[in-house]
Amino acid sequence: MLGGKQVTRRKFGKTAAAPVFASAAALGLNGATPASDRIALGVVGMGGRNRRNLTTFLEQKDVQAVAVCDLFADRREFGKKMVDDHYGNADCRATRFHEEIFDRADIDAVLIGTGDRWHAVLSSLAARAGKDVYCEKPFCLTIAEGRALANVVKETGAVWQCGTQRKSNPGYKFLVDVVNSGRIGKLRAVRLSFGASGNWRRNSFAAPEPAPDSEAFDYDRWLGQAPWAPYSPDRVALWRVNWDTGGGSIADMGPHFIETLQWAQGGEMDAPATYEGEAAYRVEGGVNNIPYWYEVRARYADGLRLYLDTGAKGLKFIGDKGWVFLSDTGGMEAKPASVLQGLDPPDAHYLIQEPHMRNFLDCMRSRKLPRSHVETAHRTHTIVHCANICLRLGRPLRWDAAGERFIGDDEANRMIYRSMRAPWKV
Amino acid sequence: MTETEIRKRIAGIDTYDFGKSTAPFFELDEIINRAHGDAAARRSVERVLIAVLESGASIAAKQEACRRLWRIGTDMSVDALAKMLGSGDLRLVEAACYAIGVRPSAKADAALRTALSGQRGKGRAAIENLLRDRGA
Repeated sequence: MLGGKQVTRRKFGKTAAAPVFASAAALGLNGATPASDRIALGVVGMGGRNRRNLTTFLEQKDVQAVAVCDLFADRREFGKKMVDDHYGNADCRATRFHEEIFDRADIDAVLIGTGDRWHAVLSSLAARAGKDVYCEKPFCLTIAEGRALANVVKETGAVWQCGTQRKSNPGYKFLVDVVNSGRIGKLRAVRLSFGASGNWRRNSFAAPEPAPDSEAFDYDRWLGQAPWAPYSPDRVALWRVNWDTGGGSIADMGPHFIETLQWAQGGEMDAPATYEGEAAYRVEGGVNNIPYWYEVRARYADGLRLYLDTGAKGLKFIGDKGWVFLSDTGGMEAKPASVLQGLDPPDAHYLIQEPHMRNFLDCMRSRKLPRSHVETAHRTHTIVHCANICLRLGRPLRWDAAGERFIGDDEANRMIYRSMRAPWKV
Repeated sequence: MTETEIRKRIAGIDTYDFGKSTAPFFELDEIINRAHGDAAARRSVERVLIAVLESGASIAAKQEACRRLWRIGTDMSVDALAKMLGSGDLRLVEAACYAIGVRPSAKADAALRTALSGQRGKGRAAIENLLRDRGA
């Protein structure tokens, strides 16, 4: 981390001794950032999502990716090639052990985009090792895990940004401004729809098979904190639809859309007071034990209603004079049409992510709180987990946001926490 | 709902193993949800789950039983979980920790502390982490 107290934090802004045969780029000539002032980045997770993230980080002139980590040999080799091809050298280190990255004193920041069960554990380890962290969502599988990480981030002083890139997307800012301008009147309800993709219905009994050689795929590490289970290719492929390793579509998309709602109503630390809802499951049994269909109805203390469902992916803000809808691919609709009259909505595609990463990098230097800092993220993730717990229990729940506890429901409160497979912890 | 009725509706949970259908556990979850507020029915369910833990059922079946005890377990199941904690099988130790979770229970705290003395390596770490998280 830059400018902090941890031993691995580098002293940016100071002039490093120039190498004898330094290139123009290394010296910061021709508009390049001097090597001594670049943020050295380690990357953990080289699946599809983090490849997109890495691509954007590589485009930042003040970033130098130096190491990649993945449990699949082919993915880490792919990551190394991405980085080496970008810089035109062979310097990127590829490893399956995140410890190799966290132990390196020359690495300032870590980009984490793994399976969900690893996000909080890795964030905690990285922060404790003196790194700043950009971490994909959902960053925790339980409310307790989120609270524990928030405490670690506070304790270590790490700059930690949740990868909810919509928070820095001009199109989402526009949506928030429309809502706050009064064009739809007083905000009464918000419907957040996470889609009905067939991926959430995929299922398998996951017949056990011999695990691959750990150098090719380290299955034991892949499980991480999740309860032990024998290797099965389907268990690995379907991790998002099992509570042990993922959180279903509410946890997958909820952090993005709920953060936008909280932002729009100016209550980023707010939370609904009540939840109720219904869900449907793949009751034939198998790896898939998350709801593939649901409707959650939550209500804030001021009466604002929040709906979470499996409709077409997007956010609908409903006021007493009209509504505005933003599709996840960026299209905006409103009724009456006058809501958007005279306005020119900017592109709001979900893949606009550079501003969010830029915010993280800038905060690394300023040591200010990033836009999606851990307490904000913890609050949005808490709403996600409350919704899931409500669906799993099949009954209404009341939530005490200040105490981070359900009111009068011991069973629900137990579900705030889940023990982890050793040695992993937050 | 009686214990006999519950056993009839969830037939097959004690022979469950990895790679098989978990359908009986969806039925069990439905029974548990419907029994909210019905202490007698919840006790019947817990006795069925304890029987799974004390049987020769697979690791997978015992893990599934522990996932339900995580939600509804009482001190009635702590003795069975204590045996798992002392079993020497890391998978059973971790399943027992999962079941105990953060349920308020002095008896569970005592079982964890007792089990700690006989544990090394990851089993010890799992119990230590749980005791820490329980504030015990």
